[in-house]
Amino acid sequence: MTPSSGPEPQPPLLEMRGVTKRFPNVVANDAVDLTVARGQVRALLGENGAGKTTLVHMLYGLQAPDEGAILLHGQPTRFRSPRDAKAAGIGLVAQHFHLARRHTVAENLALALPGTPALFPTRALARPVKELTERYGFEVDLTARVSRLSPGEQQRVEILKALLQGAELLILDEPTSVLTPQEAHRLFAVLERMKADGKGVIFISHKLDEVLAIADRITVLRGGRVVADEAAADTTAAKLATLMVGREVARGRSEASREPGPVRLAVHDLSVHADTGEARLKNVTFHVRGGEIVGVAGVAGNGQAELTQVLTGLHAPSSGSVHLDDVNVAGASVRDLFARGVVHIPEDRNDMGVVGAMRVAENLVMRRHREAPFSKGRLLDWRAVGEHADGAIRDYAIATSSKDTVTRQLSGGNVQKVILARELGGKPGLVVASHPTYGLDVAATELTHALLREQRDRGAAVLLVSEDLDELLDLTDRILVLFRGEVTGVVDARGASREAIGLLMAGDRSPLETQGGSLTSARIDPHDGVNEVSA
Amino acid sequence: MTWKWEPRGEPTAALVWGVSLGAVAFAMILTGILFAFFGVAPIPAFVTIVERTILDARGLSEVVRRSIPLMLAGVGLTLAFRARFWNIGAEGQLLIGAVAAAGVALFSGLPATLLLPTMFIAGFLAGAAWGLGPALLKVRLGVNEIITTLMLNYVAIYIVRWLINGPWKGRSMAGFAYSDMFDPAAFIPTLGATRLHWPTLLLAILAALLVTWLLARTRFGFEVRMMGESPEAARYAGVDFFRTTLILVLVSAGAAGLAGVGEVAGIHRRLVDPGSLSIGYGYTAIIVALLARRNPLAALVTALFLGWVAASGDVMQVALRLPSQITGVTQGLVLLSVIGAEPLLRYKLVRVRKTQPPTAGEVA
Ligand SMILES: Nc1ncnc2c1ncn2[C@@H]1O[C@H](COP(=O)(O)OP(=O)(O)O)[C@@H](O)[C@H]1O
Ligand SMILES: [Mg+2]
Repeated sequence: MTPSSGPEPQPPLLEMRGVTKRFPNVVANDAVDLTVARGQVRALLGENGAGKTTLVHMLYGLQAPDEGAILLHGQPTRFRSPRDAKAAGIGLVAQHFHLARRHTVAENLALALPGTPALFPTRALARPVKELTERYGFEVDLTARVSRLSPGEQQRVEILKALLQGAELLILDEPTSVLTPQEAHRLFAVLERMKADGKGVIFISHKLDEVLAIADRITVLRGGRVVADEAAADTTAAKLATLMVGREVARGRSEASREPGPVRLAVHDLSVHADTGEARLKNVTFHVRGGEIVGVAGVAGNGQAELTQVLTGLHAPSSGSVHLDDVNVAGASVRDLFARGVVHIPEDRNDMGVVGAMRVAENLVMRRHREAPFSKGRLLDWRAVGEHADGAIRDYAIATSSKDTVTRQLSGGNVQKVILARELGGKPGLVVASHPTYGLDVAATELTHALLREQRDRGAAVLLVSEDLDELLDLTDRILVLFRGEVTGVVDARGASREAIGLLMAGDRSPLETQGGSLTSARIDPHDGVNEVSA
Repeated sequence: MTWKWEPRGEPTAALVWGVSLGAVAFAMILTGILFAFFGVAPIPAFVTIVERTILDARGLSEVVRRSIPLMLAGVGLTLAFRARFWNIGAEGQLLIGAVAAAGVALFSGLPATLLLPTMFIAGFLAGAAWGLGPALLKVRLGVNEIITTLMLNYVAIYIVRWLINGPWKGRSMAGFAYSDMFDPAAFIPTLGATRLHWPTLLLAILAALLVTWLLARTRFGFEVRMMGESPEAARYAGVDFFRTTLILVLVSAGAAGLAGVGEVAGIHRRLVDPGSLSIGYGYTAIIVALLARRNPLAALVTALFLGWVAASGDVMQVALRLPSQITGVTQGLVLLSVIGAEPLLRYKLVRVRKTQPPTAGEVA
């Protein structure tokens, strides 16, 4: 453990020894060891909440470790800020980008570089940028405004920024979560070249096939601890999945117990504009039957949020119709739609799905508080609210010290259980679920999936928006793909291929044309997908 | 070994009380230091103040009567602040309430039994109307209510000035800018020879109970709390922002209007200069509501405390010959300490042991 244990012949680029970081309620990293050699891609694999982001934040000077040592080129180092880390040759492409959206790519790059002249700051950039982009094989338009770029393009700007700052060790935190599968492959090609240049890469993901495709060595984190450090060549997806979750994971589809019923939700020619006048949804048409789960796939920001907002009354459509059991409800209020049986599991569960400062019992009734027995006239019946809370806490196994606990003290999974109990408890006709398992642990994810299936089986129409293709392929009957506010295709989830959906997510309709629109190519099991990717 | 701030869970009631009392005590110590700068020994000064305010019956009645308008306006503000409607306009709402009551008293010619009730109703409605504009501007156009409510205070001040110098200037008042004295039927009864207009005090206590009940038991109160704690969630829950905001602002501003009725009909008994009518009660009520942590029942207690500060100001001027502004300074110190102590509710100071390697520089 002592830094002076004698210089090794060739110290690794980075070594972390026994790094521990505690937060008030959780040990985010517990005695973590990690090395990255030059020319190596080190994958950091783990479920949401495993501590991956926290670990690299300490590497980047955003957080200070409570215990342990960080050695760069064998030298003990401590970063007080990202400035220190950058100076030491570490670059971070964060989970959420840090770009000035109203400025151009060149301006953003100039801002990040030391020694940028005060006048005409972007002039000096052209040459180094050209060198780098040619070397690593990616294009960026220097004059484009960042707000106009797709997430994949913004990510390239972030990578370029790090390289311009002279990064020797590049950290990518869940880089593929904003990419289509094809874009991910392009990113992997860039990483291969960086490897060949002798740079080190830390690649964070919770997707097994990606990690196996790009990494040389894989560190698996679970609950803040390293549970495995293996060469990619010596392991399998199944083994990694078990390590990551701590037990064997059951996967695969479970089909509906009966045939879908009549159409419950029919959306026709729906268009939505943002307050700025920008079109967010363009002439969207689809339907969902009772007893059916329809998925919505797409790279983040392609109209999914607007679609759920319109269907749940949070945003008014500019044109088109939304029929719910044959009644046009386009433009109806949240309250009206809820009364008609439209429930909503919102993307932003902490700020929208619950009121963090209110008690669990209150949150368990918050949209239903106008109904009997919770309301008697204009008064609330707290006894009925309390009894309902006791039942929901028991039925959904919500881990809370009491029904009067302030909801923000609950973990993410339990907040989601509060929302699920409230929304699904009242026999809904249409369930709109937006990223319902994002950030949840495996148990809470499985519960969420089971509850959505249960709704399907009792005849509700379910619309599931997700960025997780595996989730969509396992859970849904059909998948609607959105790109720039348009439906690029609706595919049968049985037998759909990830690659085909990926193309549709990028606006490329060729899979529909080549296969006559049916898209029933043999479905690639996500675990077999590994071969596809590395081939 | 070093110290560092760490977030803590939900503050307990004991912690909230402890921190609030600590903040108040801190402000009092600073006030004492201020006394010393004026050449007044702090401890004897506080003894004199306590003797003449709390230990003296007449002094105590002054404390309570000062706190009546603070209670009414402060209770109203707790409701508005719960919904994060930052009403800074209680001062103007109070003055307009007083104007309406004075109008009824001077010109309505109502029979004696109806006069006072009508004055209270008129004061409530006028105060509420003064809050209506900012409420509409906020929910319809997103105009910041802090600015609109604050600016309307000045409009109210000048309306009162104009009335007492112009149309409502009393015939019997020679050169002074007052209205005529009200008919005795329009006087709010007081306790014995004091200026404690007890019906208004009862009204204030009722208002606190009513707002408590609204917040705790009604759907309206539940939706107000949702709106204040998380507007996103309130939208998702289908709360009608327009209707809810309107109602809560009417109640809040109306309560300030009632405070104006109490002052004009309980103390002055004619419409007087705005500076005499209210010694900034509407602004002090903001401190009352915040110190009470937006709890209407607690606002009764904090109003008594700030009423005591105001009554002490009188003692300081008369007995200790301190400048009149000392009251405002003390109020300011209380507000600053309370706001400054806020982080203590959310963070605690903990000791940490460091076992970190030296920095790169130290090794190289
Ligand atoms: N600033 C923070 N304060 C308190 N807890 C935190 C903070 N950041 C992360 N955590 C907790 O630490 C754990 C690890 O989080 P994180 O590193 O973001 O995981 P991952 O990136 O693997 O999804 C989680 O339980 C998370 O809630
Ligand atoms: Mg993370």
